[in-house]
Amino acid sequence: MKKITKKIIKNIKAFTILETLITILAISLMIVGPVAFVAKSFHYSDFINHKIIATGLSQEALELATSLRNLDLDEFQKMASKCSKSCLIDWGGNGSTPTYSKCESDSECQLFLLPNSDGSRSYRHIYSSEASDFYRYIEITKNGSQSYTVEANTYSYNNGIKLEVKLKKIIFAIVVK
Amino acid sequence: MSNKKFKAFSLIEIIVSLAIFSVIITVVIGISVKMIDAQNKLQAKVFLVQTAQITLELMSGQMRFGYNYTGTEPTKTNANGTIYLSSNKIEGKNCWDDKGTSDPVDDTYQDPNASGVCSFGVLITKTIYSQNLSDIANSPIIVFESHEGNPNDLSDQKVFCAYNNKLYYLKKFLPDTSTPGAFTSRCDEGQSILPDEVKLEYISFDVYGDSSTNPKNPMVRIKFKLSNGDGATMELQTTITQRLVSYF
Repeated sequence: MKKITKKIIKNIKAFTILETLITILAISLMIVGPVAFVAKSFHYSDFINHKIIATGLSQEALELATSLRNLDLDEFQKMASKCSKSCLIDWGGNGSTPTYSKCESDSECQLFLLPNSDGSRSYRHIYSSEASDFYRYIEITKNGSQSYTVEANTYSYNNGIKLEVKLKKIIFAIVVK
Repeated sequence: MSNKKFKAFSLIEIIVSLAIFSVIITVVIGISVKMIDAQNKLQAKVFLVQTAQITLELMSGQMRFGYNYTGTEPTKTNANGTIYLSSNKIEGKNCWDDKGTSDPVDDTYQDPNASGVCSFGVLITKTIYSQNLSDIANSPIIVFESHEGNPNDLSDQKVFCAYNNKLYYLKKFLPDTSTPGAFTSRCDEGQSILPDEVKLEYISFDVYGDSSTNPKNPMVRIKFKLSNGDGATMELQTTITQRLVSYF
């Protein structure tokens, strides 16, 4: 009986463990590879999306700082001394001048989407029903007595990864007439 | 006798093999279809992102070196896409109801969509011949003089306007033959900035250029939202300050 069993076992042909593993690996790669590629592409697309919006917002922060210099050099210099570390800068739209204040945490520096009367929305440092994905602050460094370097930093979190757009501009300490 | 030499698959083996093969093929085809769909969506999204970037650059660049920015109230929707420019109000064409007094403040703005009130259904932007800037929030249109333009000529005013979910850059106005001193053009006669695949959900300008409060620092905030057919959207915003040191 034992002899018969041994003979039967000898006659059974099966895949080896190596063959099985290689097959599973090949099939897995065939499926997972393209899926991962597409997922990565989507992630990258989101990254670019955030980067472009953040660039516009950083650009805006630099323009608002420039505008404060244009309006009142003394006020700009006060802001510079206060904003050596992170400050938010915001503009309420027509009829108002840009404002600034210290912001030291994500929640303080966050931008919200403020609904307007025409159906549009503005990125503002004012709490509204919808928080945007973006946070923004500026830092101003004095370069001697002639100029200031303003750095605008807008960032967001994409799947836990911090995406930052930092723009710098040198603003001269001149009175605009 | 010879039948014993042939080795073949049993019925069970064939059925099991077919079942496994079918499952694998179904999964692979399903994934492939999903991937092609995802790839198309991805391409559309990338296209939307690139379009948004180019549009923002174009508008910022033109406005930064322009001057004499003018907008209009958000209520003045661009009903039929026609724009009139004049140094004065144009009775009827700008949908203003003249109360008969000499003071234009008495006049009330009429809804261009209301029947019989304003047959032209136009948006009017009153632009002026000299440095006379305006403060406007959420204007659906912006009119400005380009840096190489003639400040005394309304026909060369530049306009960014929206019509039928498209964004146009209008560069030229023609005299309105029926109204002396006025110039007119249709928004959609301008250069279409957005590709057909991209829809403009809204565009809105905050114009801060009033000469009395802000003589040396005109600013324009641009807000717009783009979308494509696959549900991808982008809301962008930036602000520009004028770069011109002197106008004239």
